[in-house]
Amino acid sequence: MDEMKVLLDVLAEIKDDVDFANETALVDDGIIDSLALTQIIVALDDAFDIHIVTGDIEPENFNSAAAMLELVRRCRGN
Amino acid sequence: MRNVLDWLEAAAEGAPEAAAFESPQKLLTWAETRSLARRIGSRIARQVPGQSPVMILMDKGPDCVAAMLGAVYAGCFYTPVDAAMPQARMRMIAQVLQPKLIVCQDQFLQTAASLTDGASVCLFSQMEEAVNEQLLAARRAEHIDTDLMYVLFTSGSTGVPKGVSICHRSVIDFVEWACQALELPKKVRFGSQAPFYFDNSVLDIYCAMKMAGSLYIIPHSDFMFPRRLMQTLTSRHIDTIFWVPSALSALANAQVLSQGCLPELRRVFFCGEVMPCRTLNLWRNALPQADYVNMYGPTEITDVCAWYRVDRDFADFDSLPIGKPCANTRILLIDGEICVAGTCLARGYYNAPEKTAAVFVQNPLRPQISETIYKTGDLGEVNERGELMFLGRRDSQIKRSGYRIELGEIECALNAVEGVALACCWYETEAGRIVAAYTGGVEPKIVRTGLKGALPGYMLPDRILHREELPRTLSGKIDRMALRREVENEHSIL
Repeated sequence: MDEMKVLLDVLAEIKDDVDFANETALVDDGIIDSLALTQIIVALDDAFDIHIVTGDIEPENFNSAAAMLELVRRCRGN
Repeated sequence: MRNVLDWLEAAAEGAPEAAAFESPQKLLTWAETRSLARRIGSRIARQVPGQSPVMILMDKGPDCVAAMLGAVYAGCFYTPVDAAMPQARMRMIAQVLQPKLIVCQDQFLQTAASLTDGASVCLFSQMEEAVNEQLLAARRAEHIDTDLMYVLFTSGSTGVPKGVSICHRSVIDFVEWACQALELPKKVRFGSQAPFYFDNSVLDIYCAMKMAGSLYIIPHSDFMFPRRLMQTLTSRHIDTIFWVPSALSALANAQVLSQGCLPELRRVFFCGEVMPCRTLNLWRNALPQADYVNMYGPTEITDVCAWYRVDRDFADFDSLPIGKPCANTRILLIDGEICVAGTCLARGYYNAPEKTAAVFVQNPLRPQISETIYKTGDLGEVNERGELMFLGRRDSQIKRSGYRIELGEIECALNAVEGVALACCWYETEAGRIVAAYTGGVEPKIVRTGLKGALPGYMLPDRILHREELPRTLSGKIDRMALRREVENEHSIL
């Protein structure tokens, strides 16, 4: 299964008015706020069966869908 | 004829090249701030008469400060409005305020134009015209210090926002007191958290101005990332912060505070909600060198009317005093309610005489002389040390099985439970149920056990809910209404 597609579906459920596939400054441009960020973390934890720890909650890990996928893979250790 | 602009002019004379207002995108020195504010002031003065309401629809940043000060140069008063707020609310504010002029950045032009028919809209980018010395001098000469300086909107129980109207004299008395009592040094460096439409920002902006210091506007997104926020505080050499306790708790709970961190931070002030002693202790352990001051005050009394400098140790479950009144302020306890008199009082709610009359009333204890007091709706008492203690909102006091219960006391106990990051509780009157919600890495069962050790049985919440996050208001406080709605909706689905 295409993991990116799963990720984009998860993100679209949280905010359906954002072009997650193409945005590269989600945090830096203020497109996602603190509440959305928390929702994303919880959703990623559930969808990919991982646990994102405080140390990983850094802007660069959430600025784009690609960065989030990278984070998911790192959390899984692959 | 006292005017807050006297401080701006003194800073621009004494420290013209020093940084005044700074964000990651922009820096204004004191000389530049004065010059920009005077040019904008000339533009505003050309457009509208003195004492007109000017609405400011701009992102938080140095330009926004210049626009606010420009309104003051024009002899007008300002209302900063959050561009992210729902348009329906913005329109309600415009309806109450009836602004003569709306100043906005380019991206908000459409919104600004849709708010009201009666106002002209000015683009900030097109306001920099030559200074009209004559016009500004005339506006200054007309000014008296009881003229309004700003109107900030707070939520009203009926759903229509209330415009708290504050005059120059209130701000001047408050800032003069604050700089002295809080021992602010010349060139103080503030790290600003409070939005400009929230009155904590009055201390930030005007104390920085009076001390010819600087105000670094911390990007909102930094508050989402504790480590980035720590980096900002360090790299910007911030020595003073005045934040809501929730923001301080966020750093404490993310475990980024450690011995020796933030060596330049000397003053940690807080106001706006109850500071959990657990958070305070985490801060004091990591930064023992800093001064900690708990402040209290609703928007209606110019930011702060009582203060307590932390001078002893507190257990995690203790409540922090709010201390004693500020200068030119008298605090009375009438039937347990905190009532305030003094120059700090707002001149009432803008365009709302009935709402004003309901809470700005004659002091019943001194009927011989006209003296207005503001009824805060908060409950207080004086402890055995003579310090004022905040006991919660009048409406957060409940009666259950004949017992009088302060929900604030339950929250205090919840916040002290090991593993609880932030907690909040409320009373469902119809069901007769106390509901608590908290964040943190601990199971509700453990929280309940912890509470049993701290509270009598009749005070134990009936439901204890774990949440990933508690919703926040725009100013950073816990949004109790939203949380309650969230929980009630979930419950109705179940």
